[in-house]
Amino acid sequence: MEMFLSGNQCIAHGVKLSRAEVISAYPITPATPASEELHEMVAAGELDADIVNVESELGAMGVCVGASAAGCRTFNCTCSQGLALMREMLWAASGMALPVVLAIDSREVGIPQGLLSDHSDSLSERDASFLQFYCENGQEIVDSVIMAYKISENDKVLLPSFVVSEGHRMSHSFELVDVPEQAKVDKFLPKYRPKHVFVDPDYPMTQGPGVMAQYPSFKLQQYQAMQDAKQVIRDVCKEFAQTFGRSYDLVEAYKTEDAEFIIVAIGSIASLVREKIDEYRQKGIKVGMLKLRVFRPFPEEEVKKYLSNAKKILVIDRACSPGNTRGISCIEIKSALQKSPVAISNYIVSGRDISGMDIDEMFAAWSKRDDEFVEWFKIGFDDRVATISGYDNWEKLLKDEKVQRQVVKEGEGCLGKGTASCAGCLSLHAIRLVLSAFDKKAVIVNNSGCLSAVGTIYPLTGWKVPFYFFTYSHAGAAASGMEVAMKRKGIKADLVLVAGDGAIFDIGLQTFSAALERGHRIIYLCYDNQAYMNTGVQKSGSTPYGARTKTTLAGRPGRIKNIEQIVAAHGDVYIATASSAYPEDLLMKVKKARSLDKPSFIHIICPCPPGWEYDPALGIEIARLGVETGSVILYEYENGKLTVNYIPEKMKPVEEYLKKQGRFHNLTKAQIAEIQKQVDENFSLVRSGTLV
Amino acid sequence: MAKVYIRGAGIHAADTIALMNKTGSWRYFRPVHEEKMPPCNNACPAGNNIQGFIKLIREEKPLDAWKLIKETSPFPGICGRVCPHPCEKECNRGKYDEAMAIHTLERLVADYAISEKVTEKSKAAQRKEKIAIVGSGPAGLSCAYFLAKDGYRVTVFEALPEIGGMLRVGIPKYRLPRRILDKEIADIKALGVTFKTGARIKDINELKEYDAVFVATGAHVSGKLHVPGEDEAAVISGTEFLRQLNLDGKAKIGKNVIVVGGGNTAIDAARSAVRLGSKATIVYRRTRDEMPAVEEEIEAVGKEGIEIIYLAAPTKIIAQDGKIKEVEFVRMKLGAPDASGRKRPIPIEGSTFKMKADTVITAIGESSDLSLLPKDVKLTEKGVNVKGIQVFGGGDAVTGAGRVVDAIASGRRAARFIGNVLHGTPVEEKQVKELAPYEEINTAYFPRQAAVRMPELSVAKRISNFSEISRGIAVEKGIIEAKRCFSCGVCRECNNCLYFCPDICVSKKDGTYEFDYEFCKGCGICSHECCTGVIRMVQEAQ
Repeated sequence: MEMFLSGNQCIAHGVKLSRAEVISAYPITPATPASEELHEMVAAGELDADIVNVESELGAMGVCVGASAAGCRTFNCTCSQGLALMREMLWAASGMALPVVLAIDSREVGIPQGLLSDHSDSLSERDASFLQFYCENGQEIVDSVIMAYKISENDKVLLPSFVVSEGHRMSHSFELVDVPEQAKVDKFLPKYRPKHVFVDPDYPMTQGPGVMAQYPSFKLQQYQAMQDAKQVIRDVCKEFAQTFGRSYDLVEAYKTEDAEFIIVAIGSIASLVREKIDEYRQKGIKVGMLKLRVFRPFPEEEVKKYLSNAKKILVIDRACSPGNTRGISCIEIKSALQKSPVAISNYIVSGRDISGMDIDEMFAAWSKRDDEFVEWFKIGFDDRVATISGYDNWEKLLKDEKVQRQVVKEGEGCLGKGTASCAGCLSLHAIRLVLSAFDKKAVIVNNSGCLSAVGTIYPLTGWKVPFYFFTYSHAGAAASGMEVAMKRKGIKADLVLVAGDGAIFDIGLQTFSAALERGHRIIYLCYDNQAYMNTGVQKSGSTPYGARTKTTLAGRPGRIKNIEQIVAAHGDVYIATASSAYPEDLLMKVKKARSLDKPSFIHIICPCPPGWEYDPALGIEIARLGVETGSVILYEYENGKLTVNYIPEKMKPVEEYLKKQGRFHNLTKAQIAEIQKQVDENFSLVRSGTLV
Repeated sequence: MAKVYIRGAGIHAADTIALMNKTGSWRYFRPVHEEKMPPCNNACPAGNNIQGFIKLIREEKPLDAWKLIKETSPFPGICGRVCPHPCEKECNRGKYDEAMAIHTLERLVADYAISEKVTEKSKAAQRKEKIAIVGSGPAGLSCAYFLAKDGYRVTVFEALPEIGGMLRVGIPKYRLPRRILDKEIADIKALGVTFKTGARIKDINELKEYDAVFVATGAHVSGKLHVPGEDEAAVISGTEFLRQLNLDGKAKIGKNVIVVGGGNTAIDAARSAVRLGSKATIVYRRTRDEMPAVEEEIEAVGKEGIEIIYLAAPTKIIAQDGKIKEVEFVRMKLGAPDASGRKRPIPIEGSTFKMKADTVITAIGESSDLSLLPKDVKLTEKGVNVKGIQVFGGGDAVTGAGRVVDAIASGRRAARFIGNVLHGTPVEEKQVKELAPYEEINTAYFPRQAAVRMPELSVAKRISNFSEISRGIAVEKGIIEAKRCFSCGVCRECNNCLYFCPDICVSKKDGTYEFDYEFCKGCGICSHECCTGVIRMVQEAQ
């Protein structure tokens, strides 16, 4: 059936047709919509699968590995930082011979945090024994996902697969795609019934043991399976062509038979190169293209076959391996053609979007040269990127007027105007308010969330104090390192960790907990908008019961994480809750935290207009209603003593708070009554000294 | 130029993000300041800036509050005691818990100015024109005040031996102590106004040397009952009784007084009679709902043991040997509304009854004596030429019996018309602004709190004398009360917009707030949290 789909939707349709049984994917731009689409398909009854919402990419891959080990067909989707974070589990999956299919919307791996699509994420995992399929367009995505399951699950292979498409470039653009019929796919791809790994109390087996000297033999298994995969791929592609009418192979050779010049390309750039080849051929140039569709296993035979007669070869790379001068696929092409004297040149384009004019330029420059060169195409040292002009020493730099302008003056806020947060963002408001109490002596450590993305847009920054962004999961650890170093160097300043609920409750909980346990003097400011808002509203550990998010379409089920109790379990910490609508109360708590010589945790509940679904003008009113209904309780907790800062004279019914937010519009009367009961219970618990 | 390449992913001497990221371009709506008319200001017949003077009290500047009232009314001390305060009915706070005690606050600042011995001096240059004012009641005094402030030479002619009109000879001392009246009249004298008492003007031509004349002779002619026995000696009009009492300190009445009427005069008469030791009963031909008297007066009557009989009117006054013995009444029922808009009372056949009495005080309405003018002259505030004399009129003389505040407003309007005729000075335009509705007040910032209560002399302590009943409140209590004011439609400097803007786009300079439209994203939080409703979100042009 012909459908007009985005790349992410193509992924979802491929997974649906393949009848994946357990899905776990952690939100990350630009891959998030693929799993959101799957959530909707499951909610609509179109796919019978269990989707497990997890706390990080490590969790996502862990879930897939666990489910696959028990015999289910699984799916995960990620890129960039997420792929890097789940690395350990990638090796576990391939080591245990689990045929997980992992879709990657490829994206640059930070630091610095980039949003362009290169191949640094997928290609840097080329040693993890995952098959790697590179898609040129949406049609290939749907087809490759289906084929990936069949190939991975083949007894001769039993290795997991990456199905790689390009983030934003493909994931967020739309094409007409022929989506295969379910009945045909069912016939092509039977149910997954592994023989080598399963859970059966009547047949106990041990999986994943430690080995003494046998590791190399296990590695040889993977190595061999990768080799055998080549033929399996060819066979599956043939069967696919017979069933669905579209032919694929490990490579695609386009007009290479008589070509003198051959361009090697991977991914969407191949579409452009193909068009250009037709154009150049019109001019009589004998040029062709070899598209690498499969990178692992590397199609050595095909490369030799199709490139052997070329006079000049150009490889276009979107990833490099610093330390080796060539781009990654050029290294592998060179290795395959090591006996050939032909010049194999290389343009490294990284994540840049390439246009027809760029291909013309590349081709023109390349055809004029006979040497074998490696160059970065139109990428140089950006004058803005790392240059301070006119200075040859640090002292001059520090006295520069530009630097002086940034340094905050007494009484001035630490975060300037022009911050790119949404209109009415109360997380921004809360942090700004908090920082106004800090004067110059604050150093901020931050991990991914709404506020990290909006405060700086290279080469400009809105932060007027030292500001350090690490990754999503590591700020607790990085902050600890900074604290120790600052002490050693005698730098007197408040070290503040500004983190959202995602970072504190979920992905950063490990490092946060450890930092608390070690007792570093850090002020932890958690701006809690109660979901992963930066990636487009997905549920977090802090999302309240009944709230709709893209990953809890029917409302968040029960069992909420109690972060205050978790923090209190770490010994002497000053804990305080706060709300955007009570600025004086918040400032009082911040000032108290500054005066203490121990860690502090200030938890601010911040309404979010797009995530909570309300007109931005109502933000403060909603925050106030939260407190006036008892849903948000303002208190301080220190050394076992709990002080409630504000008790409304007359508690309003919680429905008044809920009905103002679109995210609660699906609640039934019974659910609202349940929430009211919980709120009442919580309030009396807090009043009697129990943390909630 | 030597270049130093700095490794890593840092922004060192970069410009702030604000230079590039003009988030103001995101907006669909922009906040604008839009002040509206406070309902109290709108309801005040004198056009007092009530919101304004309460704000000054809130800022602990009671003298500045007094000066502000004086810009529109010379009599805060008087009105703060006798005005029926229509402003309080319109007060938006009344929709939340209790209306502001505007009346009490006005009185507070006036008393404070008196205790601080503050008076006014005219700042205007002396003009050459001379204005004559006939009648020294509130309309005449108000006109004199505003003209004198503007530099005109004013002479006030008063027929009675004392200045004040109804303020002096009508309103009893227990409502308006004479020292307050004297002080506020002294303020007018201090502006250079000349007063001639005992000087009745019988003909307008007596004043032809004046450049303009303001006739404000009030309404002192009492209506007749038109019943047999009305000409008995012991039948006295309410205004006559009160005049005697207020000028001579005593009045001749018996021990069993019946007061006929339902307005303030009737009540003043009844309550005064009681203080002289008599028993008083009020008889009114309609019901309480139609009584024109001020609500608080009607309530006080009940406390002071004065019975009001509704739906009854006298038919006959029965006397013997020149002394009244009884009065016969007939019961009434209410029919369709008459010319005054009130339901017409209709006598019920055969329902007569008698009551013992030795005095009848009639207080059924007053009309004006305009015999000083030719019969065909229609007096207006805008003025009319009478045989070469510019004659203006105002107060009860033009409108019929009204409130003190109406007279004050009338006097000021006439003063502006006079100035306009003589010098072309502009006449005040009533500001046309949208009324500030209650719905736009953000009541979350106002904890519920009852209005301040004015302490009063107990009935036992007050009933045998003419001491002032209301005792006034301390300035501190006034400031607390002033904090209750919503300041509807006028910025209250609560700073909410400043504190709650997520993008630092609201700044304050010299008491005014400015929006930074380069960066304002139009979220609307400032508008929603504005406690007085002065920020409106306006759609940006496409």
